[in-house]
Amino acid sequence: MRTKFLAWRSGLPVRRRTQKRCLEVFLTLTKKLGTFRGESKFSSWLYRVTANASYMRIRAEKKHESNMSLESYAPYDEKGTLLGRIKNKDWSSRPDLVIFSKEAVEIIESSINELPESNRVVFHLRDIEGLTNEETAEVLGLSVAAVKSRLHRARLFLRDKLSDYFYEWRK
Amino acid sequence: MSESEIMTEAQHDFICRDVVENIMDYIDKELDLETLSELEKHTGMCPECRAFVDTYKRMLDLTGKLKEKKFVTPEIRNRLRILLQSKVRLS
Repeated sequence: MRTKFLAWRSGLPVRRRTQKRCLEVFLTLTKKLGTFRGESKFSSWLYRVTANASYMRIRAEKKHESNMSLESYAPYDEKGTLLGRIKNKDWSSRPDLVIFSKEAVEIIESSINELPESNRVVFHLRDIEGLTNEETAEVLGLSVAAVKSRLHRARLFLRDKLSDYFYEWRK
Repeated sequence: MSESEIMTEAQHDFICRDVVENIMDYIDKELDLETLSELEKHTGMCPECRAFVDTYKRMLDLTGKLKEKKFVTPEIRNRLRILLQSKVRLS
């Protein structure tokens, strides 16, 4: 039982969600109990079902995050003060070896995939494909102002994601 | 803190917000000279804004390494291909 609980916990960033998630996985297990064919140990089957349910939950949450709008996203608070995540987190002078490391590239790739589609598409066309604002607007059927706005929010989001990563790396 | 110091802090925060909201035009040098000068003066004095601008630029350097990656649907890539082909024909 402890193994299964730890499988859940490994996919859960916040302890207090554990109780709710345990209930969810128990419901999943009761539904899937009929699928156990006895070809493996019951504990192995239990672990697999738990791990899959945990993984599916994480994916569902990520999808929910990417459905969220970045329209009001900003790295400052309601007073207009740049948030604490900016302070003491100037990673710009790190050597290229660190900035362009495999891990950093993976972080930014993963963060791009977290973007809502409307922002991700604009970001891709502008910053990956190198189109101008006008060309991007033409491809997507948007106004230039809309392109700039979506790109702006996407870049702010990605900068913050990288900052969190490099700050954690330094610690 | 005196009233004048509070006002200064509020004005400072307001300009910080200006830096963030205008960062794209600031990087691309598409701001009018007066605004550009004001923001450059501010980033010279504000460590948070300096860090924000520098890390923003480095982030763009990093995304430049992702040229081979695709983050859009085949439909968007197709529309992009059509646009680029039409530009080649015109030139």
